[in-house]
Amino acid sequence: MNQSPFKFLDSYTKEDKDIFFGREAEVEDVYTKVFQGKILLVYGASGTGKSSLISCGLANKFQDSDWLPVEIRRGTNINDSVWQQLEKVLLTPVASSKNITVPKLLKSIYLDHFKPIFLVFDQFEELFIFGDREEWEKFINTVREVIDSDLQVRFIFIVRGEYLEYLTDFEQVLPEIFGNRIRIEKMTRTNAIHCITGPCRSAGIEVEEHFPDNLLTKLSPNKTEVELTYLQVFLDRIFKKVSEKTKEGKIIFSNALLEELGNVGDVLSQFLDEQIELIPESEKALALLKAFVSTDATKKQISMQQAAEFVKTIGQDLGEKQVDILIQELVNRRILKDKDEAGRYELRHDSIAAKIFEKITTYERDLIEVNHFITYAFGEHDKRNFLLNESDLAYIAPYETKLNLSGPVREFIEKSKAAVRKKNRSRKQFYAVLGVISFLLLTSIFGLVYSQRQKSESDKNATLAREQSAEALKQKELAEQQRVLAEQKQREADRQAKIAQEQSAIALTQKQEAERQRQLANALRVNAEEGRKAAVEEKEKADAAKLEAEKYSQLAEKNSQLANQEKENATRFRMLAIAQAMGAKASQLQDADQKVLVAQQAYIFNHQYNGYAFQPDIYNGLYAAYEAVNSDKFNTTSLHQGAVKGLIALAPNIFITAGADGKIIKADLSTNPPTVTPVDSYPYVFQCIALSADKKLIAIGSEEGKLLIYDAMTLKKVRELDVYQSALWALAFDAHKYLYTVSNDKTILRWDVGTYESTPIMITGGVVNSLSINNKDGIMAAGLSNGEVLLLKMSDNGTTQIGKVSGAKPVTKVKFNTAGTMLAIGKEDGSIVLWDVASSEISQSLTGHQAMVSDLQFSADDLFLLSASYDGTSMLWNMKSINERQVVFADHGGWVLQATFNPNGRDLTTGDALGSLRYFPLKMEFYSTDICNKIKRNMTEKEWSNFVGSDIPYQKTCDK
Amino acid sequence: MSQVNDALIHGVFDEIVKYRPALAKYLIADEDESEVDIRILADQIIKSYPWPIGVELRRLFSGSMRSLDRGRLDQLFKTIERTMQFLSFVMVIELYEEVVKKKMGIDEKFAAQFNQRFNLLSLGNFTWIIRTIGTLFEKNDVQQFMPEMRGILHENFYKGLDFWVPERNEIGHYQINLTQEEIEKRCVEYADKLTFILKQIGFITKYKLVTIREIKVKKQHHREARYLHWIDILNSSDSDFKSTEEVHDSFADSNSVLLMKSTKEPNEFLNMSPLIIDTRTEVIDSKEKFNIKKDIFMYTKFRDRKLMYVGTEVTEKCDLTNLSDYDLLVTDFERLIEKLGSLSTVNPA
Repeated sequence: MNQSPFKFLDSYTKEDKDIFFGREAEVEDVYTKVFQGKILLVYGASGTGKSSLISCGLANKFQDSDWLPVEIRRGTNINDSVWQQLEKVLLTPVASSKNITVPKLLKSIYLDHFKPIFLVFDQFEELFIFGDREEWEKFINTVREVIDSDLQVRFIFIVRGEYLEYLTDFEQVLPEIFGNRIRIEKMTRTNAIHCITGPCRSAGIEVEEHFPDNLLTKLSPNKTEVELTYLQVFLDRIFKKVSEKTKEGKIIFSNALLEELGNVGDVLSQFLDEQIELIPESEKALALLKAFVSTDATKKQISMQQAAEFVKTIGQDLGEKQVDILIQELVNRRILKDKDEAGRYELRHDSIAAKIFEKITTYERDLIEVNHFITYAFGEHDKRNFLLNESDLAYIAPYETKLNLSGPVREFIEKSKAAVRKKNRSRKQFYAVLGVISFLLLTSIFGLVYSQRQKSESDKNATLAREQSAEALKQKELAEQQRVLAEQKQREADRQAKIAQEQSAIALTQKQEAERQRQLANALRVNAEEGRKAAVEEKEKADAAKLEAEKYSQLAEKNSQLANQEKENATRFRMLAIAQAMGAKASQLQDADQKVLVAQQAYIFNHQYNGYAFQPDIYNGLYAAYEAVNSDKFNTTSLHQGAVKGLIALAPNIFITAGADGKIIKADLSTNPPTVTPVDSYPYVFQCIALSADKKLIAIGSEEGKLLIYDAMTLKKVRELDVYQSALWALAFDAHKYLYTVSNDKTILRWDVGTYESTPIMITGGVVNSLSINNKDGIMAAGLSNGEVLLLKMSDNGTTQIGKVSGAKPVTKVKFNTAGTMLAIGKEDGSIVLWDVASSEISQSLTGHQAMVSDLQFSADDLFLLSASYDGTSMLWNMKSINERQVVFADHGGWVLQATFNPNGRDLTTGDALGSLRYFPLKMEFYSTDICNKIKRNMTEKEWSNFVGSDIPYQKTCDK
Repeated sequence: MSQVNDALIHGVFDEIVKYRPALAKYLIADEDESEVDIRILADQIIKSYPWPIGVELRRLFSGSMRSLDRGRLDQLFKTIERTMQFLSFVMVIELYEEVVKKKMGIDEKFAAQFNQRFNLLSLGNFTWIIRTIGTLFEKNDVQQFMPEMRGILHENFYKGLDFWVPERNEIGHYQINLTQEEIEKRCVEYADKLTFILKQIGFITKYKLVTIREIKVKKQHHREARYLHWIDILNSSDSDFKSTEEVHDSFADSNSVLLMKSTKEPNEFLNMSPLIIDTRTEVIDSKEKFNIKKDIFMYTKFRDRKLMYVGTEVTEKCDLTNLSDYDLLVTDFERLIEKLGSLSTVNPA
């Protein structure tokens, strides 16, 4: 059988030089940039051929003596992988020592080879998907160390575009990380033709005329760009088909063959489904394949054992032997790559991972998440002896029986449960102690009352004793009187004296008794006092214990409230995450009904759980659904033969455009299709347009230096002036009577719109690229080519420079907001800076655009900023939530040159390099109210289970 | 590391250590090593010669050039060619300085020949330039920038250079098919001849090839002005050249590649521009400049008022016409030709 010249889903390597086509310009760019810094960042969407560009394109630009590539994937830990890969190219053994560092190792490698070393980190996003902070911090410090050392080493990081934001965390240690970068775009149709014809030529395959064009039309109808992975799979399919027919002789790629293949849908899904179907136990194979997909829908490298473990987490236990057999089958069917040196397998391409990810059900995803959660918690337990708490256990409980957990992990969960039970018991004990203390308190109070009563009794006795004592004294006095009387009356006296002595003895006895009683009463009183004191002390203790108990009770209540709050938050975040994932999924689905239902349900969840009103994935999902249920080009009107160079909104739904084709056109978007009325046509290439503040005049500038003034009401020309020898670059009206124009020089011309006489305003710095006027304060901003923005105070006498915003990159667009409080500055490198007028400080830097910013516009209420760029996108920034991700309108045919808001408050409008006007609803609600009307059903329960999740109660998405 | 370069490394290192005694420390083995690490010596040789020569030596020492095969043979040619090109540029610039500053006379015969030969450079023309200007200096008793040059510019050295011309023309340009045995023999012979040349010019390692990125004036109240020089040292094994800052009372030429006696002596230099230029300082601020490679470039051709250069690290042709000071380079070159030859014959258009 003939050898295929196509790579299918594999990257091109240095040896594939003769069959690598279509990326010549990018290879040149990379080759230039690789010398411009120690770090080169290569980024772009999945499937754009970034890895091939480096491992084949760039590698072949170097002669052997100048290129020592060390290709590094993260593996299980990027720092370990760096060591392992470096040791492979090391020739002279390094003395084993703990002090050996990566720079020392690299130095020795350099001395072994005497070649510049290129450390190529492919699929660098794996570090962010699978790694933790500790891992990447160590890694980035190593990179810093290598860069700072005197070593002939360069770093090339290949990363998917959507992970670029993670790299911003590197900036503190590696400020230069974004300094030298290249974005790899999807391949254009023209270059894709080379991708077909080039390898065919090398392999001696005859290609019929128009075959490449027809193939691309079949593969990507109405698209200007081509998905390389799809192209490769399709070419492989064609080659196999022709090879089967042509056992001998010349292979011919014919148009008839394309006809024979019929309609081509999603070739990648077809390939995957066909291959899985051919495997005897296809369901198990599919379950196994899910092991090779990350939660970010990218491929991941795992060993056979890890794959076997994974399938257990989604409720299937295949056993290692069967897993091994299935893996070999998948390798043979070109879905998996054969194992690497570390024994790890992976999918052939991220695009396959994305397809498999679509097949993972929400329930499986939950199981995977729960499993990840347990694995992480188990790791923490190992490190810090942490256990799961009650809410953790509640979270995993519904899935526990489905999870196939190892012995130690089960033990860990049981231990956690035991700890929770113990904690609950302790709480009960606490309340028991509290009860005892309360009992003691009551007892003490009783004791106090009793002792009080005792004291009162003893007091009574003491009083009695005192009375008796007084009585005794009285008796004694009486006896004394009787003794005197007895002296007077001898006999009587002796008898009376005897009686008195007897009485006195009795009195003494009584007195002694009274004293004893008093002492007893005293003792009782002291005892009673001590008892009272003890009772008070006990009471105080009981009060303190009661307070403590109340405190714990309040704390427990608060914790319970917090737990409830967290539970609510967790539910909310989960639902918002589901909504976001559904929004993303809606964009990928093929079936229009499903697209609508998934996008709409995502919107409903987002709204219901108070999600971000401009969540980009949900917005894009709704847009895709809207697109699917509306006719082709439902939001596109072709106006010009060349680029739309000027766009203004005259009234709600009424726009005036000026094009590179010299035409001025009025477009009324209130009708469907829009009503297009040509206004005028000139042999000029128009460059810019502006509407006066009172909306009475329209000014248009051309590349030939012409200035045209139109009456905005009648759309009749009122003046044409020959202003410049070169292009009239930008213009702006102020609120009074002046119009300002600039060309490719350092002068601004101020025109009196009554007399049309001009006065020059000289500028220092660079050439003026853009003007914007803040009519509230009478300030004009001029964006310059040298990166500065000059702030000029305007008056009838001229202008005075009152400030300057410094910057390095050339300014391409400036725009004040309606209130005049903010100035947006667009740069050549795609960045946007927001300048706060009051504080004269940069309040925010917005990154997102990958190429020059071409237009900026604030909404009338200043709540939104709309940007357009040569990267083919326009972006909507919510000024109230500027840190949220912006909505990206990527569905343009080419460069987006103009962007503005429709005064109807509902839409935004853009003009592109292909001459088209595009319009997009501003808010999700506008899509949401429309799309349900275009379909006739709701989700089936199976669809609900697939797209939403079986544990979430079913609800009707559309009111059918 | 293979032993194929051992003789060259030891021979050249022993020579350059005479001019840079500090390198002698590398001849003593580390405590935990039984012998001197020859890889370190090779690295020091690369770093000691000026970058255009050093980078070719790095390639010659690389793992891809250690077999006695056609690849190594070609690299040996390339190394000697770049070495001669560098030397001839030093001679031309010195002559230019003599003619401009000291009004040294040039005869018509030289001028005519110079025009022809400097229009399109080749190995033969390099040897002619070195020999002819060397003889001219001797005749006029010129005190050269590198006084050691006087010591080598004699017949023995010229013969050593002449050897390469027919070899390059016949073997380097594949005019003669060689058997593997002949290739191996020539690899050994050429390495030996290259060692001779490198040893002869070993003194060049005393001097520094630098790029003066920028010079800033520092003038304080009631004090004389001083000049801050931002210098990249082009003696390196890596194109990520080390930078240094020096403040002097006087100043060198800015935005130029200079051969200096020492970075401490700003007045003692040969300005190698426009024959050797450094594009790394260029700010890529327009689309037209996107294709400019950042490298040290050496002049190769002047035609139709266009200067053409060859990169030292970048091995591909590169259009440098969009350099911001390209017009200045052309003017400088024309002035050089005007002084040493006749511009009309160099640039007939």
